[in-house]
Amino acid sequence: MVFSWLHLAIVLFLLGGLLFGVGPLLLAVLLGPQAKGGDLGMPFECGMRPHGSSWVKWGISYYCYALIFLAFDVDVLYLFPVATAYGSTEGWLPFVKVFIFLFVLGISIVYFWAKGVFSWPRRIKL
Amino acid sequence: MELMAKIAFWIYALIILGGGIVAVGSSSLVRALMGLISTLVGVAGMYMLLGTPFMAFMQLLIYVGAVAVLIFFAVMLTDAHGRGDESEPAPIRQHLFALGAVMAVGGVLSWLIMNRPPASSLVPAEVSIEQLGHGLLESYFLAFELISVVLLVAMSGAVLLAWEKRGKK
Repeated sequence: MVFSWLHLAIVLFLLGGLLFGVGPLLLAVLLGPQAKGGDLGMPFECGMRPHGSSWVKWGISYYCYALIFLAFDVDVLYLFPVATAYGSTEGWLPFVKVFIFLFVLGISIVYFWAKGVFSWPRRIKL
Repeated sequence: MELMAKIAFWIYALIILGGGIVAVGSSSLVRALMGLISTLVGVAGMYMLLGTPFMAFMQLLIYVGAVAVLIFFAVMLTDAHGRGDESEPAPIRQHLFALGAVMAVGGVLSWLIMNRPPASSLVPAEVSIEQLGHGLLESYFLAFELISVVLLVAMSGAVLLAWEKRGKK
Protein backbone atom coordinates (compact mmCIF):
# COMPACT_ATOMS: atom_id res chain seq x y z
CA MET A 1 0.00 0.00 0.00
CA VAL A 2 1.15 3.50 -0.78
CA PHE A 3 0.42 6.45 1.48
CA SER A 4 1.76 9.75 0.20
CA TRP A 5 1.59 13.27 1.58
CA LEU A 6 -0.77 14.14 -1.27
CA HIS A 7 -3.14 11.49 0.09
CA LEU A 8 -2.95 12.97 3.61
CA ALA A 9 -3.59 16.45 2.21
CA ILE A 10 -6.68 15.23 0.34
CA VAL A 11 -7.99 13.51 3.47
CA LEU A 12 -7.42 16.67 5.53
CA PHE A 13 -9.25 18.81 2.95
CA LEU A 14 -12.14 16.30 2.90
CA LEU A 15 -12.31 16.46 6.70
CA GLY A 16 -12.33 20.26 6.50
CA GLY A 17 -15.20 20.14 4.03
CA LEU A 18 -17.08 17.69 6.23
CA LEU A 19 -16.63 19.95 9.27
CA PHE A 20 -17.85 22.90 7.22
CA GLY A 21 -21.07 21.03 6.45
CA VAL A 22 -21.66 19.12 9.70
CA GLY A 23 -20.43 21.84 12.09
CA PRO A 24 -23.42 24.19 11.68
CA LEU A 25 -25.83 21.24 11.99
CA LEU A 26 -24.15 20.13 15.24
CA LEU A 27 -24.15 23.68 16.58
CA ALA A 28 -27.84 24.01 15.74
CA VAL A 29 -28.60 20.80 17.65
CA LEU A 30 -26.49 21.84 20.64
CA LEU A 31 -27.31 25.56 20.92
CA GLY A 32 -30.63 26.09 19.11
CA PRO A 33 -34.07 25.86 20.74
CA GLN A 34 -35.70 22.47 20.34
CA ALA A 35 -39.03 22.28 18.52
CA LYS A 36 -41.00 19.34 17.19
CA GLY A 37 -44.09 18.63 15.09
CA GLY A 38 -46.35 21.17 13.45
CA ASP A 39 -45.25 22.63 10.16
CA LEU A 40 -41.58 21.64 10.64
CA GLY A 41 -41.98 18.51 8.50
CA MET A 42 -43.64 20.44 5.69
CA PRO A 43 -41.73 20.80 2.40
CA PHE A 44 -40.54 24.39 2.23
CA GLU A 45 -41.84 26.42 -0.67
CA CYS A 46 -41.24 30.16 -0.35
CA GLY A 47 -43.30 30.39 2.80
CA MET A 48 -46.52 29.26 1.13
CA ARG A 49 -48.33 26.00 1.82
CA PRO A 50 -47.24 23.59 -0.92
CA HIS A 51 -49.73 21.67 -3.04
CA GLY A 52 -49.37 17.88 -3.00
CA SER A 53 -46.35 15.94 -1.86
CA SER A 54 -42.73 16.97 -2.26
CA TRP A 55 -42.16 14.09 -4.67
CA VAL A 56 -42.51 15.49 -8.17
CA LYS A 57 -41.83 13.61 -11.39
CA TRP A 58 -39.36 15.47 -13.57
CA GLY A 59 -38.96 15.61 -17.34
CA ILE A 60 -36.81 13.05 -19.07
CA SER A 61 -34.69 15.89 -20.52
CA TYR A 62 -32.69 15.93 -17.29
CA TYR A 63 -31.90 12.24 -17.70
CA CYS A 64 -30.77 12.70 -21.31
CA TYR A 65 -28.50 15.57 -20.33
CA ALA A 66 -27.05 13.50 -17.49
CA LEU A 67 -26.38 10.60 -19.90
CA ILE A 68 -24.62 12.87 -22.39
CA PHE A 69 -22.66 14.46 -19.55
CA LEU A 70 -21.61 11.00 -18.36
CA ALA A 71 -20.39 10.03 -21.84
CA PHE A 72 -18.34 13.21 -22.22
CA ASP A 73 -17.00 12.69 -18.70
CA VAL A 74 -15.67 9.30 -19.80
CA ASP A 75 -14.07 11.03 -22.81
CA VAL A 76 -12.24 13.35 -20.43
CA LEU A 77 -10.89 10.27 -18.65
CA TYR A 78 -9.08 9.28 -21.86
CA LEU A 79 -8.19 12.82 -22.92
CA PHE A 80 -6.29 13.59 -19.69
CA PRO A 81 -3.49 11.03 -20.23
CA VAL A 82 -3.34 11.75 -23.96
CA ALA A 83 -3.09 15.50 -23.32
CA THR A 84 -0.21 15.04 -20.86
CA ALA A 85 1.65 12.75 -23.29
CA TYR A 86 0.93 14.93 -26.32
CA GLY A 87 3.64 17.50 -25.51
CA SER A 88 6.44 14.95 -25.79
CA THR A 89 5.31 13.47 -29.12
CA GLU A 90 6.74 14.28 -32.52
CA GLY A 91 5.29 14.56 -36.00
CA TRP A 92 1.75 14.77 -37.33
CA LEU A 93 0.60 11.26 -36.45
CA PRO A 94 -0.41 11.94 -32.80
CA PHE A 95 -2.31 15.04 -33.97
CA VAL A 96 -4.25 12.94 -36.50
CA LYS A 97 -5.01 10.31 -33.84
CA VAL A 98 -6.35 12.84 -31.34
CA PHE A 99 -8.21 14.61 -34.16
CA ILE A 100 -10.04 11.40 -35.12
CA PHE A 101 -11.04 10.91 -31.46
CA LEU A 102 -12.38 14.44 -31.15
CA PHE A 103 -13.98 14.37 -34.61
CA VAL A 104 -16.13 11.35 -33.72
CA LEU A 105 -17.27 13.16 -30.58
CA GLY A 106 -17.94 16.27 -32.66
CA ILE A 107 -20.21 14.22 -34.91
CA SER A 108 -22.28 13.28 -31.84
CA ILE A 109 -22.67 16.96 -30.90
CA VAL A 110 -23.78 17.81 -34.46
CA TYR A 111 -26.28 14.93 -34.30
CA PHE A 112 -27.73 16.16 -31.01
CA TRP A 113 -27.95 19.67 -32.42
CA ALA A 114 -29.84 18.45 -35.47
CA LYS A 115 -32.08 16.31 -33.28
CA GLY A 116 -32.93 19.32 -31.11
CA VAL A 117 -31.52 18.02 -27.83
CA PHE A 118 -30.14 21.44 -26.90
CA SER A 119 -33.48 23.19 -27.36
CA TRP A 120 -35.06 21.79 -24.15
CA PRO A 121 -38.49 20.87 -25.48
CA ARG A 122 -41.39 21.07 -23.08
CA ARG A 123 -43.02 17.79 -24.00
CA ILE A 124 -41.29 14.64 -25.14
CA LYS A 125 -43.11 11.53 -26.26
CA LEU A 126 -42.14 8.61 -24.05
CA MET B 1 3.76 6.00 6.75
CA GLU B 2 3.21 2.22 6.76
CA LEU B 3 1.01 2.56 9.86
CA MET B 4 -0.88 5.49 8.30
CA ALA B 5 -1.55 3.36 5.21
CA LYS B 6 -3.00 0.58 7.39
CA ILE B 7 -5.18 3.01 9.34
CA ALA B 8 -6.38 4.58 6.08
CA PHE B 9 -7.13 1.12 4.66
CA TRP B 10 -9.35 0.22 7.62
CA ILE B 11 -11.11 3.60 7.57
CA TYR B 12 -11.85 3.22 3.84
CA ALA B 13 -13.01 -0.37 4.37
CA LEU B 14 -15.39 0.87 7.09
CA ILE B 15 -16.69 3.66 4.80
CA ILE B 16 -17.25 1.14 1.98
CA LEU B 17 -19.02 -1.38 4.22
CA GLY B 18 -21.10 1.25 6.01
CA GLY B 19 -22.12 2.88 2.75
CA GLY B 20 -23.02 -0.50 1.31
CA ILE B 21 -25.21 -1.35 4.30
CA VAL B 22 -26.98 2.02 4.05
CA ALA B 23 -27.41 1.54 0.28
CA VAL B 24 -29.01 -1.88 0.74
CA GLY B 25 -30.95 -1.31 3.94
CA SER B 26 -32.39 2.17 3.60
CA SER B 27 -36.06 2.42 2.68
CA SER B 28 -35.63 5.85 1.12
CA LEU B 29 -34.10 5.75 -2.36
CA VAL B 30 -32.28 9.05 -1.89
CA ARG B 31 -30.67 7.87 1.37
CA ALA B 32 -29.70 4.58 -0.30
CA LEU B 33 -28.03 6.58 -3.05
CA MET B 34 -26.11 8.61 -0.46
CA GLY B 35 -24.83 5.30 0.92
CA LEU B 36 -23.78 4.27 -2.59
CA ILE B 37 -21.93 7.57 -3.03
CA SER B 38 -20.00 7.09 0.22
CA THR B 39 -19.08 3.57 -0.93
CA LEU B 40 -17.74 5.00 -4.21
CA VAL B 41 -15.73 7.64 -2.31
CA GLY B 42 -14.25 4.87 -0.16
CA VAL B 43 -13.26 2.93 -3.29
CA ALA B 44 -11.54 6.10 -4.56
CA GLY B 45 -9.54 6.11 -1.33
CA MET B 46 -8.57 2.48 -1.98
CA TYR B 47 -7.29 3.51 -5.44
CA MET B 48 -5.12 6.14 -3.73
CA LEU B 49 -3.69 3.42 -1.47
CA LEU B 50 -2.96 1.28 -4.55
CA GLY B 51 -0.73 4.07 -5.86
CA THR B 52 -3.02 5.13 -8.72
CA PRO B 53 -4.14 8.69 -7.88
CA PHE B 54 -5.35 9.22 -11.47
CA MET B 55 -7.80 6.33 -11.12
CA ALA B 56 -8.92 7.73 -7.76
CA PHE B 57 -9.66 11.16 -9.23
CA MET B 58 -11.44 9.64 -12.21
CA GLN B 59 -13.47 7.47 -9.83
CA LEU B 60 -14.58 10.66 -8.08
CA LEU B 61 -15.16 12.55 -11.34
CA ILE B 62 -17.09 9.83 -13.17
CA TYR B 63 -18.79 7.73 -10.51
CA VAL B 64 -19.43 10.29 -7.79
CA GLY B 65 -19.79 13.22 -10.19
CA ALA B 66 -21.69 11.76 -13.14
CA VAL B 67 -23.12 8.31 -12.39
CA ALA B 68 -24.55 9.40 -9.03
CA VAL B 69 -26.19 12.44 -10.67
CA LEU B 70 -27.53 10.16 -13.42
CA ILE B 71 -29.07 7.81 -10.82
CA PHE B 72 -30.51 10.82 -8.98
CA PHE B 73 -32.23 11.94 -12.19
CA ALA B 74 -33.47 8.38 -12.72
CA VAL B 75 -34.92 8.44 -9.18
CA MET B 76 -36.55 11.79 -9.95
CA LEU B 77 -38.30 10.17 -12.93
CA THR B 78 -39.83 7.43 -10.81
CA ASP B 79 -42.76 7.42 -8.43
CA ALA B 80 -40.83 5.98 -5.49
CA HIS B 81 -42.43 7.28 -2.30
CA GLY B 82 -41.26 4.52 0.02
CA ARG B 83 -44.72 3.02 0.54
CA GLY B 84 -44.66 0.63 -2.42
CA ASP B 85 -44.82 -3.14 -2.55
CA GLU B 86 -41.10 -3.52 -1.85
CA SER B 87 -41.19 -1.42 1.32
CA GLU B 88 -42.23 -4.39 3.50
CA PRO B 89 -39.34 -6.12 5.27
CA ALA B 90 -37.96 -9.14 3.43
CA PRO B 91 -38.22 -12.64 5.00
CA ILE B 92 -35.17 -13.88 6.94
CA ARG B 93 -34.55 -16.61 4.34
CA GLN B 94 -33.87 -13.97 1.71
CA HIS B 95 -31.28 -12.27 3.96
CA LEU B 96 -29.56 -15.64 4.49
CA PHE B 97 -29.44 -16.28 0.74
CA ALA B 98 -27.97 -12.81 0.14
CA LEU B 99 -25.34 -13.41 2.85
CA GLY B 100 -24.47 -16.77 1.27
CA ALA B 101 -24.03 -15.17 -2.16
CA VAL B 102 -21.71 -12.50 -0.73
CA MET B 103 -19.69 -15.06 1.24
CA ALA B 104 -19.27 -17.31 -1.82
CA VAL B 105 -17.87 -14.55 -4.05
CA GLY B 106 -15.85 -12.93 -1.25
CA GLY B 107 -14.50 -16.32 -0.12
CA VAL B 108 -13.26 -17.27 -3.59
CA LEU B 109 -11.65 -13.85 -4.13
CA SER B 110 -9.95 -13.72 -0.73
CA TRP B 111 -8.74 -17.34 -1.11
CA LEU B 112 -7.16 -16.39 -4.44
CA ILE B 113 -5.47 -13.30 -2.97
CA MET B 114 -4.20 -15.19 0.09
CA ASN B 115 -2.79 -18.15 -1.84
CA ARG B 116 -1.77 -16.67 -5.19
CA PRO B 117 -0.75 -13.07 -4.46
CA PRO B 118 0.34 -11.07 -7.52
CA ALA B 119 3.91 -9.79 -7.48
CA SER B 120 2.77 -6.18 -7.19
CA SER B 121 0.55 -6.69 -4.13
CA LEU B 122 3.11 -5.46 -1.56
CA VAL B 123 4.78 -2.66 -3.54
CA PRO B 124 2.48 -1.50 -6.34
CA ALA B 125 4.24 -0.29 -9.47
CA GLU B 126 3.33 3.31 -10.17
CA VAL B 127 2.35 4.15 -13.74
CA SER B 128 2.44 7.85 -14.53
CA ILE B 129 -0.30 9.58 -16.49
CA GLU B 130 2.20 10.34 -19.26
CA GLN B 131 3.00 6.63 -19.69
CA LEU B 132 -0.73 5.95 -19.91
CA GLY B 133 -1.08 8.62 -22.58
CA HIS B 134 1.82 7.24 -24.64
CA GLY B 135 0.23 3.80 -24.39
CA LEU B 136 -3.09 5.18 -25.65
CA LEU B 137 -1.42 7.04 -28.53
CA GLU B 138 0.91 4.22 -29.60
CA SER B 139 0.24 0.60 -28.60
CA TYR B 140 -3.47 0.89 -27.85
CA PHE B 141 -4.24 3.40 -30.59
CA LEU B 142 -7.10 1.40 -32.13
CA ALA B 143 -8.78 0.89 -28.77
CA PHE B 144 -8.44 4.61 -28.08
CA GLU B 145 -10.24 5.51 -31.31
CA LEU B 146 -12.87 2.83 -30.83
CA ILE B 147 -13.70 4.22 -27.38
CA SER B 148 -14.92 7.43 -29.01
CA VAL B 149 -17.09 5.38 -31.39
CA VAL B 150 -18.52 3.36 -28.47
CA LEU B 151 -19.34 6.57 -26.61
CA LEU B 152 -20.90 8.05 -29.75
CA VAL B 153 -23.14 4.98 -30.10
CA ALA B 154 -24.05 5.06 -26.39
CA MET B 155 -25.00 8.74 -26.42
CA SER B 156 -26.93 8.68 -29.67
CA GLY B 157 -28.66 5.45 -28.65
CA ALA B 158 -29.94 7.12 -25.49
CA VAL B 159 -31.07 10.19 -27.42
CA LEU B 160 -32.65 8.06 -30.17
CA LEU B 161 -34.67 6.08 -27.62
CA ALA B 162 -35.79 8.91 -25.36
CA TRP B 163 -35.83 12.00 -27.58
CA GLU B 164 -38.88 11.80 -29.78
CA LYS B 165 -40.87 15.00 -29.86
CA ARG B 166 -44.56 14.67 -29.16
CA GLY B 167 -46.83 14.94 -32.16
CA LYS B 168 -44.13 14.26 -34.70
CA LYS B 169 -45.20 10.72 -35.51
